[in-house]
Amino acid sequence: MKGWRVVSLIIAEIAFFMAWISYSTTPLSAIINPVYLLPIAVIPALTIFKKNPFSFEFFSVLMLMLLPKIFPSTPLFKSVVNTVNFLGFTDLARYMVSILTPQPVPSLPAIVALFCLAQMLENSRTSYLGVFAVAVMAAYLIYPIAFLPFKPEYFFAIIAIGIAAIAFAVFEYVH
Amino acid sequence: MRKAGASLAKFSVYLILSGIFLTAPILIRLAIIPAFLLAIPFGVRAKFVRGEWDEKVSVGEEFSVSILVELIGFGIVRVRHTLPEHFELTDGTNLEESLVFGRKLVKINYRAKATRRGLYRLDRLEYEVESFSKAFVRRGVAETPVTLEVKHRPPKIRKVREIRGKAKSPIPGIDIAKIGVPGTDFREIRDYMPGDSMKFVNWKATARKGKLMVNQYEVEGKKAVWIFLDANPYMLHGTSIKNYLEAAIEVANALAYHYTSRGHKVGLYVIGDKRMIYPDVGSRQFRRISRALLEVEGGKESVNDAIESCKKMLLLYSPLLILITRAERVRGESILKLSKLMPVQVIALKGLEEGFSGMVMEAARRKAVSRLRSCGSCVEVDVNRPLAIW
Repeated sequence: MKGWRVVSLIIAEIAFFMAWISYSTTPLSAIINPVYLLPIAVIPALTIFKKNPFSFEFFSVLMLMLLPKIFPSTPLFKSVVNTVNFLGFTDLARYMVSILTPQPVPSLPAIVALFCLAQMLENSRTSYLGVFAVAVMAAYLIYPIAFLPFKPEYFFAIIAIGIAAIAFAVFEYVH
Repeated sequence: MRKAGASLAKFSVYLILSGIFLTAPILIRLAIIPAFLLAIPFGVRAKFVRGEWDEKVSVGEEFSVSILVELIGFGIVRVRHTLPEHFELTDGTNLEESLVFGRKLVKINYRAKATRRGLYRLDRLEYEVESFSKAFVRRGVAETPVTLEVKHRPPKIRKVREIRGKAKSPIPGIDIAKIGVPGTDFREIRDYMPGDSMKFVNWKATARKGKLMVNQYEVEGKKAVWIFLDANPYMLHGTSIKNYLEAAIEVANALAYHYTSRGHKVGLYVIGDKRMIYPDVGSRQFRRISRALLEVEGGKESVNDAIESCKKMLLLYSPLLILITRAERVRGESILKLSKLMPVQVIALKGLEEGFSGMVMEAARRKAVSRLRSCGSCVEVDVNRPLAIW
């Protein structure tokens, strides 16, 4: 396995947890529990041997997780709600507005930047990646502490899955 | 554009289309991030500044190269001093990678082993510039004045093994030359020929015979040796480093050194290249032959045609003819014919065939060798053994 894929995997996991935390703060998380979305974090680890772990498809999944924050502020959503209301489904329209409230998405630029970084890393030489890999891994281990104020109850779950994914990838890389 | 560049471009378009479809301006604004990474300018120019390198080495020896390259521009640069594929890097690297931001001097230091003879112009300094986003790559070539001459080191041949056949080859060490500067040893009295000096006229014999007669003296110098090196395509059997042609060149080089250092006139004809060097004496002649051997490339020409094209010169010098070839691939008619006029020695190379086909070739070679021994001396040389002991 190529060295750059390990770094790309770490970036993908960071991006996932940023998207996951962002989703956890939406009212939609009351309907679909964020814990059920945690297995998505395994996808990059599973695809690491075939292609770039932070693939275009994985980014699309992350976009879907961010959509409850992006979509309510768009004219398209407002028009859909208006149409539903106009057709007489007032309760449904109110329900839609209540679960999809417009919210800022501060993590979206960071996720886009991480995806670009993962694409740029493709086929990079391992020697150059060494320092970068250590830095990213350190950042990865530290970031849950930074996000702890948002969802303290998921701290151990975040750490466990992240460490398992890294350990698995490193084990495969070494062998 | 590289794969990363294509991915970024695709991603930028994806964000714009998503933004349009969802009427989300934030996605359209975010498309600037990959577009910006694609738009970062880059470009580097490489220039050779100075360097030190070994200019002459023997086959199998290491040589060192140290080059200082100036890089001007922006980007991630990989500079490679291109080596022939059959050279082996032993120390250091001929590839340097560097992040250039403005001007930078990069030093390429390495040691390599020259595994094949030849005149090499190592003048290509290839460089590849990558943009900071790794999206684009540009390639260029700078020139360096590095040249390398790789020669076979002539082994000290102590003894050339002779195999007694029906007709044994005369030893050129005691034979004398047929043409050259007349000495003082009297040979015979013969008829006057236009061009003969008047000082050689034998007046007593002229008075007795009634026509001009001249004294003929033995010429100075030892017998000429003419090496015929077979460079036909079948001599390339083996690897690019170890094949019959390389072995033949090594043998020719060693023989040229052996005979020139003993005062013989030595000539060379490369069968296939149709290249001839007329017999001459001295170390300068050895260097001339050695240089010609470096430039052997090979081609198609039969041994018979080669001998026919040199026949006049061969009859003039009457040299010891040494043919280095693969005995099983040579038709010996011309050699058999020529052996009646002058001594012929065939050096038959062997040792690179393997397996069943090798056994078949071995049988064919033995038959050819026994046939060639009837016309003089035929020595077999195993190319896997050191040359100095055959």
